[in-house]
Amino acid sequence: MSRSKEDPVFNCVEELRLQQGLSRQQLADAVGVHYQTIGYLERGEYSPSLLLALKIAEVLDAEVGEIFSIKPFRKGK
Amino acid sequence: MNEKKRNRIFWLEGITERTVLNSLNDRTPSRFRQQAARRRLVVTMAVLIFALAVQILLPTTKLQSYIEFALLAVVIILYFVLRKAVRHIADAPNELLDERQIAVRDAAFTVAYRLLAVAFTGYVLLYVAHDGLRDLSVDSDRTALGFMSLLISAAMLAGSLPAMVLAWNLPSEPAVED
Repeated sequence: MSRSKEDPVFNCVEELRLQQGLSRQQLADAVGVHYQTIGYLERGEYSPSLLLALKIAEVLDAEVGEIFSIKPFRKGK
Repeated sequence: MNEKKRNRIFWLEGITERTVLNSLNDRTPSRFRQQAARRRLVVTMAVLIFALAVQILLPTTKLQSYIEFALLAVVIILYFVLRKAVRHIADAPNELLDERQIAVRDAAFTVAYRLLAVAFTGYVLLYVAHDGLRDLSVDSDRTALGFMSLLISAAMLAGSLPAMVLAWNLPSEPAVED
């Protein structure tokens, strides 16, 4: 799903990934995408499909709603 | 047990599995990781494809035949450079790409084929002009390729336009990806 400028999707994938001690390559391998896609996702330049979001949530041991939001995350949350 | 993995060939796309995977995972620095460099490549390619098409309208000389072949050779070389510049995403089958790569590839194809519809109108007008000039005894068929260069230009445009659109739109890649 490409990102819509009118409806941005915010995420804290990078923060949670680093907490788990995972590199982008490791997270990418775990969810079955290219490492660059994780990069695009973390920078907010790409919004994942529901399936990819669920896979990321499973790997990062969090709920989808805790990782992705239509409102910006507060820093340090 | 060592099992050599087969390098599958995707005939419709004109590419092999190993080529795509090596390209997607290539982390060596390249000027074409930057959007500006890719856009210069796209403009160069577009100008040369256009030149290959319109040169059939010029008065013919032996030198023009050499220029025609040189143009064709450069266009073909740049075609392969362009494919590599977008990591072969424009040519890869779905099974080798992830969801984001499929999305950007399909978006590029949509734009490319809209542009092709316009371009082919131009090619038809060029053909009419070429035919019209023949009626006026301006012989544009004395070059080595002659009218074929128009068809080759059209084929190169059709084949490379999705990669050109992709190369134009893809953002610059970050310097470091962990």
